[in-house]
Amino acid sequence: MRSKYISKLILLSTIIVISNINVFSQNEDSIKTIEMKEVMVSANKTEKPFVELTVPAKIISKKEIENSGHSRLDEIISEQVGIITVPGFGGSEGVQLQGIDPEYTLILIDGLPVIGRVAGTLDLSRISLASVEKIEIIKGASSSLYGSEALGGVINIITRKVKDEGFKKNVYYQYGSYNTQDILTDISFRKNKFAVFGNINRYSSNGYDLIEGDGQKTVEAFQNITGNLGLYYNMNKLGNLNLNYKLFEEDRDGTVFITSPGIENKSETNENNISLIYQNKLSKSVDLNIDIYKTKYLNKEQQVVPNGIINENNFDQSLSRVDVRLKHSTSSGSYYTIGFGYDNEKLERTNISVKPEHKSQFLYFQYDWKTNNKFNLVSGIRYDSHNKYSSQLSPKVSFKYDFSEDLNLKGSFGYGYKTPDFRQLYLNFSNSTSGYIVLGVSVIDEVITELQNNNELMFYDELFTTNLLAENSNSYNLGLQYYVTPDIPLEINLFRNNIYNLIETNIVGRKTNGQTIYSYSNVNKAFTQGIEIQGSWNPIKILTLDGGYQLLYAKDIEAIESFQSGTVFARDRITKQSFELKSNDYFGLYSRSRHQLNLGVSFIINQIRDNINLRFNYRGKFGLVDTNNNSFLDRYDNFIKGHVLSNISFNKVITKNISFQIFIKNIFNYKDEVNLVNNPGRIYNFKVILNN
Amino acid sequence: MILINIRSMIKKLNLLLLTLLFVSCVDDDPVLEPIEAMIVTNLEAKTTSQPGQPLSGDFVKFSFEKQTVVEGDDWDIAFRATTILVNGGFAAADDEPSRTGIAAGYVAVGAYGSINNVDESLLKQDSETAYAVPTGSGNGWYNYEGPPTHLITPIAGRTLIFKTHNGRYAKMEIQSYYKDAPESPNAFTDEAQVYTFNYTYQPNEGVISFD
Repeated sequence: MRSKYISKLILLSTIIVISNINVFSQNEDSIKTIEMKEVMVSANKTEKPFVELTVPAKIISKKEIENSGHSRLDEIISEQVGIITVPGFGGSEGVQLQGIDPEYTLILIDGLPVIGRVAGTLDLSRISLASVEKIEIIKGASSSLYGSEALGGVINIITRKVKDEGFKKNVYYQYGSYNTQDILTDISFRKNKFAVFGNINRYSSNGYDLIEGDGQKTVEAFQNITGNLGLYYNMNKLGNLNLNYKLFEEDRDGTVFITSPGIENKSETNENNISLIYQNKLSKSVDLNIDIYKTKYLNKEQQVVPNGIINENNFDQSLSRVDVRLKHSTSSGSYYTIGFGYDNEKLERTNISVKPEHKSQFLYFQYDWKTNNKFNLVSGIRYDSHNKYSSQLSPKVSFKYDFSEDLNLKGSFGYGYKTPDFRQLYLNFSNSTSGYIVLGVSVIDEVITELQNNNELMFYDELFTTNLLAENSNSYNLGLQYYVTPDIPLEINLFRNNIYNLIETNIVGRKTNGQTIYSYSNVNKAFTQGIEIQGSWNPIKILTLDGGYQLLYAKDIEAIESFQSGTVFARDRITKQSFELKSNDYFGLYSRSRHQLNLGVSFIINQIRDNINLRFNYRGKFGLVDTNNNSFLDRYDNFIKGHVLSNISFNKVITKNISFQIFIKNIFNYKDEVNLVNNPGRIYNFKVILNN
Repeated sequence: MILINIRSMIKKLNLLLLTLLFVSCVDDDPVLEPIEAMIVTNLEAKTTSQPGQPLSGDFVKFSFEKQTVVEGDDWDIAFRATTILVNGGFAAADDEPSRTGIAAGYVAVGAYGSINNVDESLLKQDSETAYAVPTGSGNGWYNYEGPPTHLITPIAGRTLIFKTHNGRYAKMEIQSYYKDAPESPNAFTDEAQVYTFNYTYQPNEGVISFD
């Protein structure tokens, strides 16, 4: 009901903005785009020029986002080198970075964490690209600045800020296949030291069905709203104040529950967060930054029949954070950052009897040392103390060495970790239809004792320890950057992530009624390693080519040992005979492609006013499940074939305030209905943009 | 349940191979009976209980020598859902058939064709606390894949070795737990608790070889 109200509000505000568009459009439309010296905040928690970074990173600019035609974060992120999106429940999309699973990449909006990992993966399709200024991606463990979850890397979505004086607006409407509609109203006003900005984005779709007649849609119809309201006030010597409120609301037909006739499945998500950021230059060399942040994520899944709710699943998480940091610069261009703060995280969830509360304090220090013109060394360390886990000490060291103006070497070592989540600690879930129980390690003793007392326990292999350790990694990156000519940067990066204490579900017991009891333990060690190459080329003024390639090996150490010991066999699907596998038959972890290739072609036409963008994204073969009875992915398994997805967008400027876009996603209509459920086939989109 | 006698198939298809096999047997000991290689398809071993409830229903008893399901005490092994009993040792529950023979068994790691001898030191009988063929995912002959597929898959390279109720030996490989042994089974649509397996039976007492 609230979203209907908001929808009306959007419509109204859109009409107001459109009717005003000619009155306010006074700014000169500049055709020339001046390439500003791009800066990145995520790598150092303070602005640093992109070209000077010591860690592997990538910026997706506002222009790239707008020209691409994409609406949601998962779509544009999957076009980046070395990044793959992996589908989860109900159309959700997680990110795989350097071959590391979605659970282990920290997602931030304006530097502050996004919560709501219902099943571990954070759904990137939740995040709208409307009003995004840029996206910063850091590869490699970064817990030295960000603490838990920054094991594979960090993705930071920077939203649009008010820069120019006066009244600004940006409105667009996009219509596409499956009745997909994306509408944005973005207005801002700045006068001297005061600015206010707000935007609201509504995105809806009828969803799609890849396999008809199975009684459920592949992706159910949904609608969501993303809103943002911000205030900025420059108090001169007293500093700057940013107050920001963001909301996300989504209604979706269909849930995690299996569809049955006569039962309506509904899913509802509400996300709210508020942040207050205070910045002040205390002296010529000292900067103070205070973030105060509170976010709340609520997801409700319901099965509804005419006389009530028959099944319900709730997930209600909140996080409060205070992060205070001081930056002290020296005359040589070096600086150090010292920061401290605390987190408070709470969860209420169906199948969790307790209401867990996690509190942690943290302290971090980073020194960015410019030893001379050629050598920049950045070293940092963070200490996290937690009320439920052992404390963590996360170091990171990175450097950049300039051999010449054209050639430099970058290297980094970082420690990353992820604390066990609430599920792994407190879940007490019983599935009566398929007959299994999953118990978190903090509740297992209690439940097992109860089962024993009731004579319901057949056997129980006591956990080695009920003290789950944080999953962690040591991540290494070494890269060369070479400017073939000033216009042709070429980058090659080698990476290796050693991951320890991966948490897995294991069978720990069985009830007398045959139900299997699962719990969690730290068992696996794995690694991901590979090479990443990327570059771009401007052969002629109107043409830009860019491309990238990633070679990836991602393997489980225990699996390697099993293959070496000669105890792994495979069953031939036709003859049903088993045969022994050799060490080199092991392919690696599920959902990993050995090869990934991206290629982009952009033409500027019509005196730089219009452009055409073509993208080809190749993903090499990968396996989703074991298909020959050995629980490992080996060369005789059924793989999902390597495939290319191609997009084209055409951006045309009509007048200085009006432009439009035609975007065709998956031009060649590549589909795999059984295995690639996140791909509905070819999609057409048309968009009209009004701005000043 | 359908039985296929591989030897008779081979006889029709490849007389030479059979001759070699026969000759090799003759060379060893002229009075030995030939070994029997069989495939059993769609042997139903269903429980009458619903998932999540205590398992119930009769065990299906099988004789390697008779190549079929039997009702009497001359059974060698018995099936119910994923549980396999041997006719030797002691019953662990009241609804199990009582053990009247000297059967035993173990799970060998290795391709079916490469396991040609019985290691008698590994043979175990059923007891009140453990079965000769261990139950549970990953412990014995199968893996339970858990959510979301919930498949029961026979682990590749697990050969079950049995001593029969009257002291002969057999080796066995379970190939499928679903009706008609589909190439890619689906736990939600394919009929489960239906075994397909092949076995080799050594009818000569005291001979531990399957060659």
